Amino acid sequence: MNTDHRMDELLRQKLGGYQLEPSPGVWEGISGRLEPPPTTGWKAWLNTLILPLGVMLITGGFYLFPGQGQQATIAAAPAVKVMEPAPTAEKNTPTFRPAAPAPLRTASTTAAVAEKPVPAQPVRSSGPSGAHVSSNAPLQTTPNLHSPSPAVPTGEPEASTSVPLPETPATLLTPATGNSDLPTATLEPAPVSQAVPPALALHTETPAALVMNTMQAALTLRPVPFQARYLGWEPIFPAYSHVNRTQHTAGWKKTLGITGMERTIRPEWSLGLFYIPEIYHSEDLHAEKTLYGFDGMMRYTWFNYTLEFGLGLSRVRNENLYTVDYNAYLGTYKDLDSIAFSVDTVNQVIVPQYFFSEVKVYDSTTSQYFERTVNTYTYVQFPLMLGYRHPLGRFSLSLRGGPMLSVLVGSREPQIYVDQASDRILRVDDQTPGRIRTNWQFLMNAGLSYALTRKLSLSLEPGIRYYLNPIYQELQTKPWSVNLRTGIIYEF
Amino acid sequence: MAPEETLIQGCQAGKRKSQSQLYRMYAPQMLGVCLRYAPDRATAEDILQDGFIKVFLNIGSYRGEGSFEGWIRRIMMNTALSWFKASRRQGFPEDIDGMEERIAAGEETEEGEALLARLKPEEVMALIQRLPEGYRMVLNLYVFEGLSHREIARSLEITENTSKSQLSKARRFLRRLLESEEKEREYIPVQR
Repeated sequence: MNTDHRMDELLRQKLGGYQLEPSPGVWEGISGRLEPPPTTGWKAWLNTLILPLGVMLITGGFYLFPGQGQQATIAAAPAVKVMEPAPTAEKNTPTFRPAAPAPLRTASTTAAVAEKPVPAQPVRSSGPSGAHVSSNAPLQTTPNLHSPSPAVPTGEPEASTSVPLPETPATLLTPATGNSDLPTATLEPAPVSQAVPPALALHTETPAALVMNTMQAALTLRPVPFQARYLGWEPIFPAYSHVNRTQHTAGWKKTLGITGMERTIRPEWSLGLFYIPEIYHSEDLHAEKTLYGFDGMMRYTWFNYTLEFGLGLSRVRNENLYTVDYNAYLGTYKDLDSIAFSVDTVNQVIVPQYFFSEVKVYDSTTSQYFERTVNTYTYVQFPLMLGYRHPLGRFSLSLRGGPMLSVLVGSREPQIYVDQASDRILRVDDQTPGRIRTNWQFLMNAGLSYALTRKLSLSLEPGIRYYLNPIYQELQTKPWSVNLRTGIIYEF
Repeated sequence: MAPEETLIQGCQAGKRKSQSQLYRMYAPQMLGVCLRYAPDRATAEDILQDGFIKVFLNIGSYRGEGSFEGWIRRIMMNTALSWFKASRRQGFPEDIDGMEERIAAGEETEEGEALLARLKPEEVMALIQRLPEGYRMVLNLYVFEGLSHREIARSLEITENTSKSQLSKARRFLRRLLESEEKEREYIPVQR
């Protein structure tokens, strides 16, 4: 026993603090197998907010930036504005008839004359006291629109009643003095809150209109210069300006935009359920993989533009490859264990008895074969796609694109079963790298949908998906895939 | 090199630089542990790699109770045990009972210990690695990790008696190896 203890003690002494520098490949392997470090703190919040902010900026761009050539810049650099008529107008809405060059100038630019007429929206009072701007020379208030407010001399003899806007240095609108050739405009004094006439207010049936009205209400509380700054609003996207698209189904709504133009818009929500078979290709693995996905998404359609977001579930069936090293079984031989001798007393001879044991013989060279298992992985997916839709009667064509986040939430990896009953198995190696838990993809698809009823439509959307980061650990290539998204869409 | 506590906090935050420094700090020592359990260096490095992956993935569960080195060492030991169990399930050719005949004979002498005292650590390591899997595991757990036979039996899913007999056989086998080593050394011609 003492000998044992001495031996144990010696072993501990010799190997207790034994150290050896590992090969450089070990750390590389560890580093490759560890997922990228999670983003923490403000970076995580930033990453989370980038997409919604991007969407908000894009959609906000409809409103926040004036259309080309229609931007009044009174506040920044006072300019001459000419009122222009709206293409269509409601009966009870004050209208502006085409005006010859009839610049209204701010007080600070009384000598300025417009070189070209600039389309703009006038500041008008609402209701019966709204201003009427005429093209036949001096602008006058019509009798029925006469304001009880005292007239302010404008220096223009033809102007019977001339009323300034609330006195704000940059926007006190007065006719050009000393230039009787130019028509002048007279405006009713109007409280700031009434500066926008009813014609400029959108109906409130739709979320988009609600947003616009809210913004418009906010504008009316601002000083006139700011208001004037945005009078020339026009959408920057051509589809926003579509007019008279009333030939489509019910659910389309007419409204008047800020410009006074009649527009039809169709903001709507719809719910879609899709089945998505998909084949993807990765250069590293030399094999095509099949995915089957289901997703449910909400789609917001605004004019011809769509915004989709939702939740998807995707199952991937993936072959895992194993290499099995083995020594092949060659057979057995009988090994002589012992010989026992007995004496045959009858015949007077010694009889030997042989005792054998069976020994298996294996090939001394190592052989290898491949085994496969089928693993199943489940991903939860969060797509966010922007698109454009073009209706063609019952059909509509669409084009969509956007990012998608996939998160691996489950996997089923069956144990390999090595069916080599007699061979000697030396080693089993898993050749397929592990999967990275989260990855980003960019999706793009072209869609064709067919309206079965007013509410229900079928959709067929072939698409491609490009993985923005690798899906396998230790591999750097980014796979791509083709898919066919088929589903049914219900419009609310 | 940053203090250990800072490195641990960095690793808990998932910082790759801290992970790299922590690895550099402990890898040589832990490779020494893994080599004792493995038959060769390549296998030892595989165990080391798997062990460090577990360390980094589970470092959030380290509460600072007890030595960090001991915590890592425990993970390495468990990884080695998992590797041993997996290789045993896959039908590793090592047949512990078949070794009995080879070690049955021979008296216990003190020659082995004397030689053991003279051998360099890497030579002792080579001898340990020549032990059959089962012997090596039991010897490591008993001698180096200080586990009782009951704990060894639970870890390796064997009986306590098997653990005791394996340890005894491991020691005898080691002595035989030392004796044969001694004989080989005697035949080495002295170089002038």
